[in-house]
Amino acid sequence: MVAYSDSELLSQFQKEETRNFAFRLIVQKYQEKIYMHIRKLVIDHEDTNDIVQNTFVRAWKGLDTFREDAQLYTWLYRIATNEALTFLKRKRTRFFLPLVDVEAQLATTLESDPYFNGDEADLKLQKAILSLPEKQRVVFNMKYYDELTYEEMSSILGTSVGALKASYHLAAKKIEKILESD
Amino acid sequence: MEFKGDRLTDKMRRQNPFAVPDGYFDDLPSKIQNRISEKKVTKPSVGFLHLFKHQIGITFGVVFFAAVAYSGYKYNQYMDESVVQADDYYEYVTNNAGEFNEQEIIGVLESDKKTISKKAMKKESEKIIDYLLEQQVETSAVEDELYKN
Repeated sequence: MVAYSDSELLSQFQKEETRNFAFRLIVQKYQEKIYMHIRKLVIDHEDTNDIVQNTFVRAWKGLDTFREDAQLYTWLYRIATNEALTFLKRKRTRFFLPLVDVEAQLATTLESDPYFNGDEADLKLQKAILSLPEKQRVVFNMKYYDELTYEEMSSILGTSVGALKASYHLAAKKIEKILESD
Repeated sequence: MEFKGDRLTDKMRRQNPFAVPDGYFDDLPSKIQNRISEKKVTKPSVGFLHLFKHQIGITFGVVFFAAVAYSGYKYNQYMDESVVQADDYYEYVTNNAGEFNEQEIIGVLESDKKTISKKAMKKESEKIIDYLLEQQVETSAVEDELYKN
């Protein structure tokens, strides 16, 4: 399979006759990364499936006006992050925050998730990550799992590099503390 | 703050514990494109009014306010036009110089005075007073009447 650059894909997308083909290639190129990013936040596969599809549908609508001053991947990442956080916010609101702890519910989902292949250590780590505040969780996942640079994260989240470094540092310390205490 | 190193990498495996159903990523692009196509198909046909509803709304708003402003202008103009013109009084005084009677002037003022704007009334009243003074006519009673309201 030919590997197209983002510029080539966007250029093909602008033409009516190659739009669908180009978009399919964009989805194929980024679907796994976007899926996993969302999955780590919302845990459940079905919810993730909905959010991933929403993300790419939004991307379809926005690609016409996408300015290539940002990278395509960081732009998709930003949409995915916003969609996931909006989902969690709605989940929290539906269950009348703060009476129901959504993160605790997600931890329970994790334990019974048929699509969770991790061992005890992985489960412990995921539960520790779920105990972090939402934004810290996003930062931690992006840095630890996706290995994004702070500059890329800053572009996605609109937060300063310094704040992101501090956020990751705090998240890492908290997780270490939780794991060491068990 | 320079955060050096990643202490967690030594302690934990950086692996992805999340799995997906078989063939999920093979089917996902098609599912997404079907959703996009569905949205295009079920989208209602967009008429002219719907397409330009904002522009039409703004146009109507502008036209409405323009109509209000014009009505206000015409109303004021009407009010000004209903002012008894000073020329009417000049003519009266000229024609009745010998039998000049203040009460008659007041009577004319009252009969001809329609509902007028205070501003216009004051303007005309001052003209009348100035003229009468030039004619050395006693103006106190006339002034009282003119400036009564």
